[in-house]
Amino acid sequence: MLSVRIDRKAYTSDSGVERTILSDVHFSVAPGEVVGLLGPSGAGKSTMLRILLGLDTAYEGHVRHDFRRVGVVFQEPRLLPWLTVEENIRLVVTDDMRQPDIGFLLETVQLGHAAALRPRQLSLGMARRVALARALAISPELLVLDEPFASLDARLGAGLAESVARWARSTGAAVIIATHDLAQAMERVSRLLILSGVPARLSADRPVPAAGDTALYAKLLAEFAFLRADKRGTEEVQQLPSEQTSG
Amino acid sequence: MGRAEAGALSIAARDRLLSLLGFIAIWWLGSYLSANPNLLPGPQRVALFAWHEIVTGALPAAFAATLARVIVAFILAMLGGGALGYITGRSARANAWVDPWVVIGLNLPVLVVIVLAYIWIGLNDAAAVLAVVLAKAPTVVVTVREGARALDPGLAEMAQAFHLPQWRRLRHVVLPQLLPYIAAAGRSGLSITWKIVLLVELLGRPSGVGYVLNLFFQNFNVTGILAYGLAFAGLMLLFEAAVLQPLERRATAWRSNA
Repeated sequence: MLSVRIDRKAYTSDSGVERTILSDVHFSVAPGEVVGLLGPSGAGKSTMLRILLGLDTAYEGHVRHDFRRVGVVFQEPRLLPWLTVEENIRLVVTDDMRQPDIGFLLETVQLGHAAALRPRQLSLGMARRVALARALAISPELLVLDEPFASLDARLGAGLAESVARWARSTGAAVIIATHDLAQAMERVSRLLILSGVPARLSADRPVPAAGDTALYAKLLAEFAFLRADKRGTEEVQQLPSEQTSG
Repeated sequence: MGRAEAGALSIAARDRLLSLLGFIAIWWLGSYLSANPNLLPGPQRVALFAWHEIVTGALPAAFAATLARVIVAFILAMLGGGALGYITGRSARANAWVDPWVVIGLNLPVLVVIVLAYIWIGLNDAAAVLAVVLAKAPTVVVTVREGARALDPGLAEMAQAFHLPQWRRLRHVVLPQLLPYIAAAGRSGLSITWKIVLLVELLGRPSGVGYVLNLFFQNFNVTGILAYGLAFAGLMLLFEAAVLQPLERRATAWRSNA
């Protein structure tokens, strides 16, 4: 069981101004649950994941869990460029763990041919899949994925998401998937946590509606669309011109 | 390697050889035109003298004594300076404590360090090696510190998130990132180290190339000075080309393996 209680997380800028990023984020995740952490870009999802991974300890509150092995896929692949794909995967498997079947893992992420390649020889999408294989290599009891299927084409992303969901069902592991893509989250997870506002709070913690429950589905869609619009209206005005030129 | 690249390399090698031959030609011409051949002996006379010293065993003995001091001082300076550089690069507090010492070390004349070491510790090899280490280590600290500051925080977080054992982190995550800096410190370090060792020997040791050069200086033996000085520089260049450069290439091979 993972228990997260972040009462307050703040950053102090170089000019000395303190800004609260997260406030009153309380939730727990049980083994076997696949939880989607949803929020607009910049809402604080990655900050929250860093806290629950123990990478950021400067916050008020606590994170407790009894999972023995925690696997993670960061937004960037974070592979060691001097090691091959296989060596990158083996690196995280310590001597007290069961040695993984590298071939099987790479097949799972559809990279069966890539064991001997180095990260420089991979596209970003391939590198992200290696990062996923690396996280699965330790047979994690909790798997944390930060925007894992971004930069993959839709079909591949859906296939990998399905692989992760199947893997979670078969192992009983808990999974937390952070994403800003509501549709993607709804398809694969059993429960949604929605971060929104400034500072970000947990505005919703609810099970994903059943396939036939179109009313709840529509309500969720509308709510999330509103959150995105609200976020853009208050915080991302400066990004609009560049978005317009790139679009 | 492409044909154009190989061609460019061979042209560069040819130019280097021509440049070296030009140096020897100018040396020979200077000696030929010199009124006093003892002041600037020609290349062939210096080479003959060096050969004679090799055959009698005097040159190998001097080289062995100097090399032993160079190797010990080089290893100690690299280990101590490297460790201190890593710590100061990772901790601002440690850097605040160590940096003033490093600045003093960088600016203190080598001669002062050597003389003080001899006075305080005595005219022995421990003082000689310590003086060389103290004179060299600050530059290693500065170079490795830059490397430690440039370590990728994302990779460190990955290692922490997966709870990699400390030794595995150091060997696979930290050291490969530091290697280019360690190699740079090593290459510049070797050339500085052997020059300081000669000075240390000249000032207070009864053996080694520096000691022999001092004898030649007192006898005004320019042939001997050139023979020993150039032969030792050649040996160091050979060591750099045959050992340090291949090591560096091997350590950074992954960069060009794409």
